[in-house]
Amino acid sequence: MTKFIVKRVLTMIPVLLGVSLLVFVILSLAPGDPAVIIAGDYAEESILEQTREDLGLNQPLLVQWFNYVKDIVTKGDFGVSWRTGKGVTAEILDRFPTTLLVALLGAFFTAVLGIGTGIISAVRQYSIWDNLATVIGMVGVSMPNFFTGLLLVFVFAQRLKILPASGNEGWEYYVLPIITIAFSSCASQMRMTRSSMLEVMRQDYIRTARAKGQSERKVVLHHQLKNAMIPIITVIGQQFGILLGGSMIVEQIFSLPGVGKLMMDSINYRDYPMVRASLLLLAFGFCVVNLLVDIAYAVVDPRIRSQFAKSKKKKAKEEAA
Amino acid sequence: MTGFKDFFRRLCKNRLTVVCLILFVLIVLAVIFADFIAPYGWDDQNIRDRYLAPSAEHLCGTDNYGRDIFSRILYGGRMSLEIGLISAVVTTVIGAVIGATSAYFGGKFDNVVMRVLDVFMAMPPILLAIAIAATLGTGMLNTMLAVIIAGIPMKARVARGPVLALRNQEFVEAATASNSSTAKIIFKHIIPNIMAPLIVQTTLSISSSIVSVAGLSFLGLGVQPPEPEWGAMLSAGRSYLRDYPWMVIAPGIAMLLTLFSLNIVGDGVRDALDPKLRD
Repeated sequence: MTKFIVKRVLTMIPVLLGVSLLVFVILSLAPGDPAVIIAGDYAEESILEQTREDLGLNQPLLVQWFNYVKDIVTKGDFGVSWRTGKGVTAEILDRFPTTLLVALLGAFFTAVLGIGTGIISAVRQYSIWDNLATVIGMVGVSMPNFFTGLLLVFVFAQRLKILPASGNEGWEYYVLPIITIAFSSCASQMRMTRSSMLEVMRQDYIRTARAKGQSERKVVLHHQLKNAMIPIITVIGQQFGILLGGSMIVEQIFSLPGVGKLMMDSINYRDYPMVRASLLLLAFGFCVVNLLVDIAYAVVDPRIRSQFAKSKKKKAKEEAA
Repeated sequence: MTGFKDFFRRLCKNRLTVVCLILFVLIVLAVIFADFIAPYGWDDQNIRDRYLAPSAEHLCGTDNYGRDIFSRILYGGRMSLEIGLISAVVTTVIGAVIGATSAYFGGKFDNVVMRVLDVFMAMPPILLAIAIAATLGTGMLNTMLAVIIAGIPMKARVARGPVLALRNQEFVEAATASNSSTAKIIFKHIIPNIMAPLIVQTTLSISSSIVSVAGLSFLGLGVQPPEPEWGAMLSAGRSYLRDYPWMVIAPGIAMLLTLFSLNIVGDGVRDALDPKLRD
């Protein structure tokens, strides 16, 4: 198991390098001369040249990328903001907890509510609850999160006046953002849980469990849910990526000072080092979640674990031969 | 055309699917014939009629420039559906070609292509789209391009699986033996065989493309005002939400109805094409 995790972590390194290169290349294609953005529209050519020299913008793109990655790895330095002239790292780390909190709580509610309603739907298939959950789920999947967010602001902040619409002075400021972000994810989670549970329900081992007089509760939770877990975990991972992406929109609507809002503001100021660092951080978060999902597969499914063990044995045999 | 008839019969087995199919067709027709249905133009400003609540004259009210929101929703729908359809088809086609080619050749080539796709897929699609949109700049074409590029890796992955299974089948061997070119084998023999999953992918991704484009427009990175794209309309109505909520709610509901019917029809198409569910 430890070996599996170590191996999986190591495969993340080339992917992250690739992501940093991708982000680097995409943003370097942006129009506008960085030196002009930093020094101002009316700066003299000598000053522009000096700026380029200072920032290493005269070097080939690959060399710039290499230096960028080197600084991140050795010094944890994500570069200097073109707008403020200060280090990017501190600003981003300052914003990161907000985004992480919203995404984690969103993922938590998604998992609990989505899986919970999904189980009820599957166990009481075609009941009124199932039909209700299915329709709400379909609406949830079809509702763009910016529309959900605006509707919530309108109803709870502007008409009922029970929750604040923007800012972050306390826990109540996080309620609407989290509902917004969790609503559609919850719906996808529910749909996946339901169909996955229904697929397992027809299996022979469920009939066996019932035949030997197992309590219904145990049949559902131990035999059915455990075997339905793989697609459910996959969706948790996917939804987390969507939550991270959605943070951009939610933070914009509710003026939460997270990485997403920072990134949008930086795009408007054309402060690309800041954009680059925010993108990398969010992509890094997504990679970590995917890693956790892969580990979770092995934890819940002994078949996957044994597959890995087998491949190890096979390798040993090949080496011996 | 018995195949199509059979498909259609199975599609119509579910009542909700039929209702949503009709709803979607109606929306498409309304949007196509917007020129005849819309009571006003999408950019007809009338300063005297600003902020009017919905009434018989203005079905969805008017906005801060006195423009009729119902007309704007119709024209905006044309834009959203066009963008959604084109990007879904283009994404799936390019993705399928990449995935099929990569799987067909296999070996090192496949390995390299897949590792590159891994890198693309290590970023949530919407983040990738935002990065590309920020670089390309705003406007309908650039936004579509951003959504298409961000969507291709996933589609390539989906197309690759079935092709891996197909490439060792006898008909491919027969085609190779009869001296067909590689391009001909891929386009004439392999792609038609993975048509069912591709059609399902396209239908399901129309709605996600519409949402992505609307999301980018909402953030100010996509279609720009005064163009009546739905996401841009929601974004523009945001500041007037407290007093003139119809500026947000009307386009939002239009979007919800469209996406809802599209998703249900997409699910129906998937089930109707699924050989496992064939009776």
